[in-house]
Amino acid sequence: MESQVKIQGKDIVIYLDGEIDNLTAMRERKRCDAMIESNVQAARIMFNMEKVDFADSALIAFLIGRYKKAHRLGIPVFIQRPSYNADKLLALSGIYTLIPKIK
Amino acid sequence: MKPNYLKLEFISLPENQAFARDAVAAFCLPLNPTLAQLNEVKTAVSEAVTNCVVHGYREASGLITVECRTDGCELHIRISDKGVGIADVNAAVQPFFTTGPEDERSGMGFTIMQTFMDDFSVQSNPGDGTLVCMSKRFEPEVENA
Repeated sequence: MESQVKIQGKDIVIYLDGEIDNLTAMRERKRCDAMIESNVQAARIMFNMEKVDFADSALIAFLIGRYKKAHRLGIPVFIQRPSYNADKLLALSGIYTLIPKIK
Repeated sequence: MKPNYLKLEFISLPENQAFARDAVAAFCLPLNPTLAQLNEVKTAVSEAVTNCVVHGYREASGLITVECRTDGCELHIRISDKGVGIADVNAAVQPFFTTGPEDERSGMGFTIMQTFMDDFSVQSNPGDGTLVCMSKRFEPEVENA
Protein backbone atom coordinates (compact mmCIF):
# COMPACT_ATOMS: atom_id res chain seq x y z
CA MET A 1 0.00 0.00 0.00
CA GLU A 2 1.19 3.49 -0.79
CA SER A 3 -1.43 6.10 -0.14
CA GLN A 4 -1.91 9.08 -2.41
CA VAL A 5 -3.33 12.23 -0.88
CA LYS A 6 -5.22 14.89 -2.79
CA ILE A 7 -6.78 18.10 -1.57
CA GLN A 8 -10.14 18.54 -3.29
CA GLY A 9 -11.65 21.87 -2.34
CA LYS A 10 -11.92 21.77 1.44
CA ASP A 11 -11.65 17.95 1.60
CA ILE A 12 -8.65 15.70 2.07
CA VAL A 13 -9.00 12.53 -0.01
CA ILE A 14 -6.62 9.72 0.95
CA TYR A 15 -6.44 7.05 -1.74
CA LEU A 16 -5.46 3.65 -0.32
CA ASP A 17 -4.46 0.89 -2.71
CA GLY A 18 -2.88 -2.56 -2.96
CA GLU A 19 -2.60 -4.82 0.08
CA ILE A 20 -3.28 -3.53 3.58
CA ASP A 21 -1.93 -5.62 6.42
CA ASN A 22 -0.07 -5.02 9.67
CA LEU A 23 3.17 -4.17 7.86
CA THR A 24 1.82 -1.84 5.20
CA ALA A 25 -0.59 -0.07 7.57
CA MET A 26 2.27 0.61 9.97
CA ARG A 27 4.24 2.26 7.16
CA GLU A 28 1.38 4.56 6.19
CA ARG A 29 0.24 5.75 9.62
CA LYS A 30 2.78 8.54 10.07
CA ARG A 31 2.32 9.85 6.53
CA CYS A 32 -1.47 10.04 6.85
CA ASP A 33 -1.28 11.57 10.32
CA ALA A 34 1.15 14.22 9.10
CA MET A 35 -1.22 15.06 6.25
CA ILE A 36 -4.17 15.40 8.64
CA GLU A 37 -2.17 17.54 11.08
CA SER A 38 -1.05 19.89 8.33
CA ASN A 39 -4.63 20.36 7.11
CA VAL A 40 -6.56 20.97 10.32
CA GLN A 41 -8.89 23.35 8.48
CA ALA A 42 -10.18 20.54 6.24
CA ALA A 43 -13.96 20.13 6.02
CA ARG A 44 -13.83 16.34 5.62
CA ILE A 45 -11.36 13.48 5.36
CA MET A 46 -12.28 10.73 2.92
CA PHE A 47 -10.54 7.38 2.58
CA ASN A 48 -11.01 6.17 -0.97
CA MET A 49 -10.56 2.37 -1.18
CA GLU A 50 -11.64 1.39 -4.65
CA LYS A 51 -8.12 0.10 -5.41
CA VAL A 52 -7.63 -1.93 -2.23
CA ASP A 53 -6.98 -5.51 -3.43
CA PHE A 54 -6.59 -7.11 -0.02
CA ALA A 55 -7.17 -6.03 3.57
CA ASP A 56 -7.13 -7.71 6.95
CA SER A 57 -8.01 -6.31 10.38
CA ALA A 58 -5.05 -3.92 10.15
CA LEU A 59 -7.26 -1.78 7.91
CA ILE A 60 -9.89 -1.51 10.67
CA ALA A 61 -7.25 -0.47 13.21
CA PHE A 62 -5.69 1.96 10.72
CA LEU A 63 -9.03 3.68 10.07
CA ILE A 64 -9.96 3.87 13.76
CA GLY A 65 -6.55 5.39 14.52
CA ARG A 66 -6.96 8.11 11.87
CA TYR A 67 -10.59 8.63 12.94
CA LYS A 68 -9.50 9.34 16.52
CA LYS A 69 -6.95 11.88 15.33
CA ALA A 70 -9.43 13.61 13.02
CA HIS A 71 -12.16 13.53 15.66
CA ARG A 72 -9.90 15.39 18.12
CA LEU A 73 -9.46 18.06 15.45
CA GLY A 74 -13.20 18.19 14.76
CA ILE A 75 -12.91 16.84 11.21
CA PRO A 76 -15.51 14.27 10.09
CA VAL A 77 -14.19 11.13 8.36
CA PHE A 78 -15.81 9.07 5.60
CA ILE A 79 -15.08 5.91 3.65
CA GLN A 80 -15.45 6.23 -0.10
CA ARG A 81 -15.95 3.44 -2.64
CA PRO A 82 -14.51 0.46 -0.73
CA SER A 83 -13.54 -2.51 -2.91
CA TYR A 84 -15.56 -5.71 -2.48
CA ASN A 85 -12.91 -7.26 -0.22
CA ALA A 86 -12.48 -4.15 1.92
CA ASP A 87 -16.23 -3.59 2.18
CA LYS A 88 -16.88 -7.14 3.39
CA LEU A 89 -14.31 -6.76 6.15
CA LEU A 90 -15.42 -3.28 7.18
CA ALA A 91 -19.10 -4.27 7.26
CA LEU A 92 -18.23 -7.21 9.54
CA SER A 93 -16.38 -4.88 11.93
CA GLY A 94 -19.30 -2.46 12.26
CA ILE A 95 -17.01 0.48 11.52
CA TYR A 96 -19.58 2.13 9.24
CA THR A 97 -21.49 3.29 12.32
CA LEU A 98 -18.38 5.29 13.25
CA ILE A 99 -17.06 6.20 9.80
CA PRO A 100 -19.95 6.35 7.32
CA LYS A 101 -19.62 5.09 3.76
CA ILE A 102 -20.29 7.67 1.06
CA LYS A 103 -20.27 7.51 -2.74
CA MET B 1 -8.71 -35.32 -6.36
CA LYS B 2 -5.67 -36.68 -4.55
CA PRO B 3 -5.03 -35.30 -1.07
CA ASN B 4 -2.34 -32.67 -1.03
CA TYR B 5 -0.12 -31.29 1.73
CA LEU B 6 1.98 -28.18 2.21
CA LYS B 7 4.24 -27.16 5.08
CA LEU B 8 5.84 -23.74 5.40
CA GLU B 9 8.18 -22.67 8.17
CA PHE B 10 9.44 -19.12 8.35
CA ILE B 11 10.78 -16.51 10.75
CA SER B 12 8.27 -14.21 12.45
CA LEU B 13 8.97 -11.20 10.28
CA PRO B 14 5.99 -9.01 9.28
CA GLU B 15 7.31 -9.20 5.71
CA ASN B 16 6.38 -12.91 5.66
CA GLN B 17 2.65 -12.32 6.23
CA ALA B 18 1.97 -11.62 2.55
CA PHE B 19 4.12 -14.57 1.49
CA ALA B 20 2.20 -16.96 3.79
CA ARG B 21 -1.31 -15.90 2.71
CA ASP B 22 -0.37 -15.93 -0.98
CA ALA B 23 1.18 -19.39 -0.67
CA VAL B 24 -1.93 -20.81 1.01
CA ALA B 25 -4.16 -19.16 -1.61
CA ALA B 26 -2.10 -20.74 -4.39
CA PHE B 27 -2.25 -24.12 -2.64
CA CYS B 28 -6.07 -24.12 -2.49
CA LEU B 29 -6.61 -23.10 -6.13
CA PRO B 30 -7.17 -26.72 -7.28
CA LEU B 31 -10.24 -26.78 -4.98
CA ASN B 32 -11.85 -24.30 -7.38
CA PRO B 33 -12.62 -21.51 -4.88
CA THR B 34 -14.52 -18.42 -5.92
CA LEU B 35 -12.61 -15.14 -5.72
CA ALA B 36 -14.59 -14.27 -2.59
CA GLN B 37 -13.68 -17.60 -0.94
CA LEU B 38 -10.03 -17.18 -1.92
CA ASN B 39 -10.00 -13.77 -0.31
CA GLU B 40 -11.59 -15.16 2.85
CA VAL B 41 -8.87 -17.81 3.13
CA LYS B 42 -6.14 -15.21 2.54
CA THR B 43 -7.61 -12.91 5.17
CA ALA B 44 -7.96 -15.67 7.78
CA VAL B 45 -4.35 -16.80 7.19
CA SER B 46 -3.12 -13.21 7.37
CA GLU B 47 -4.87 -12.75 10.72
CA ALA B 48 -3.44 -15.95 12.19
CA VAL B 49 0.12 -15.24 11.01
CA THR B 50 -0.11 -11.63 12.23
CA ASN B 51 -1.12 -12.94 15.67
CA CYS B 52 2.00 -15.14 15.73
CA VAL B 53 4.24 -12.19 14.77
CA VAL B 54 2.64 -9.50 16.93
CA HIS B 55 1.36 -11.41 19.95
CA GLY B 56 3.11 -14.79 19.92
CA TYR B 57 6.67 -13.55 19.59
CA ARG B 58 6.19 -9.84 20.30
CA GLU B 59 9.65 -8.27 19.95
CA ALA B 60 11.41 -11.64 19.78
CA SER B 61 12.11 -13.74 16.73
CA GLY B 62 10.77 -17.28 16.33
CA LEU B 63 9.47 -19.79 13.84
CA ILE B 64 5.93 -19.87 12.49
CA THR B 65 4.61 -23.06 10.92
CA VAL B 66 1.79 -23.12 8.38
CA GLU B 67 0.46 -26.52 7.34
CA CYS B 68 -2.27 -27.04 4.73
CA ARG B 69 -3.99 -30.23 3.71
CA THR B 70 -6.69 -30.87 1.18
CA ASP B 71 -9.21 -33.64 1.73
CA GLY B 72 -11.76 -33.92 -1.04
CA CYS B 73 -13.34 -30.49 -1.29
CA GLU B 74 -12.02 -29.36 2.09
CA LEU B 75 -9.01 -27.26 2.99
CA HIS B 76 -7.52 -27.71 6.46
CA ILE B 77 -5.02 -25.17 7.80
CA ARG B 78 -2.88 -25.31 10.95
CA ILE B 79 -0.89 -22.23 11.94
CA SER B 80 1.34 -22.43 14.99
CA ASP B 81 4.03 -20.62 16.90
CA LYS B 82 6.15 -21.40 19.95
CA GLY B 83 5.68 -17.97 21.48
CA VAL B 84 4.22 -16.73 24.74
CA GLY B 85 0.81 -18.35 24.30
CA ILE B 86 -2.60 -17.06 25.38
CA ALA B 87 -3.61 -17.05 29.04
CA ASP B 88 -7.39 -16.92 28.41
CA VAL B 89 -8.40 -18.25 24.99
CA ASN B 90 -12.13 -17.70 25.62
CA ALA B 91 -11.53 -14.00 26.27
CA ALA B 92 -9.10 -13.66 23.36
CA VAL B 93 -11.60 -14.89 20.77
CA GLN B 94 -14.19 -12.28 21.76
CA PRO B 95 -14.67 -9.42 19.28
CA PHE B 96 -12.57 -6.31 20.02
CA PHE B 97 -10.44 -8.13 22.61
CA THR B 98 -6.91 -6.79 22.60
CA THR B 99 -3.99 -7.13 24.99
CA GLY B 100 -2.57 -3.76 24.02
CA PRO B 101 -5.30 -1.11 23.91
CA GLU B 102 -2.62 1.57 23.58
CA ASP B 103 -1.39 -0.11 20.39
CA GLU B 104 -3.31 0.40 17.19
CA ARG B 105 -5.12 -2.98 17.09
CA SER B 106 -8.73 -3.74 16.19
CA GLY B 107 -9.13 -6.90 18.28
CA MET B 108 -11.04 -8.44 15.37
CA GLY B 109 -8.51 -11.04 14.21
CA PHE B 110 -10.11 -14.16 15.72
CA THR B 111 -13.61 -12.92 14.84
CA ILE B 112 -12.57 -12.59 11.20
CA MET B 113 -11.03 -16.09 11.19
CA GLN B 114 -14.24 -17.54 12.69
CA THR B 115 -16.46 -15.69 10.23
CA PHE B 116 -14.50 -16.35 7.07
CA MET B 117 -13.75 -20.05 7.70
CA ASP B 118 -16.19 -22.94 8.28
CA ASP B 119 -14.38 -24.50 11.25
CA PHE B 120 -12.07 -22.75 13.67
CA SER B 121 -10.31 -23.62 16.93
CA VAL B 122 -7.48 -22.26 19.08
CA GLN B 123 -5.27 -24.26 21.42
CA SER B 124 -2.84 -22.40 23.63
CA ASN B 125 -1.04 -22.51 26.94
CA PRO B 126 1.07 -19.71 28.36
CA GLY B 127 4.70 -20.39 27.46
CA ASP B 128 3.84 -23.21 25.04
CA GLY B 129 2.76 -21.21 21.99
CA THR B 130 -0.49 -21.23 20.06
CA LEU B 131 -2.07 -23.45 17.44
CA VAL B 132 -4.92 -22.22 15.23
CA CYS B 133 -6.82 -24.79 13.16
CA MET B 134 -9.20 -23.69 10.42
CA SER B 135 -11.10 -25.48 7.67
CA LYS B 136 -13.10 -24.41 4.67
CA ARG B 137 -15.31 -26.44 2.34
CA PHE B 138 -15.62 -25.67 -1.34
CA GLU B 139 -18.23 -26.73 -3.85
CA PRO B 140 -17.15 -29.79 -5.82
CA GLU B 141 -16.45 -29.08 -9.47
CA VAL B 142 -19.30 -30.37 -11.64
CA GLU B 143 -18.15 -32.53 -14.51
CA ASN B 144 -20.02 -32.25 -17.79
CA ALA B 145 -21.58 -35.50 -18.97
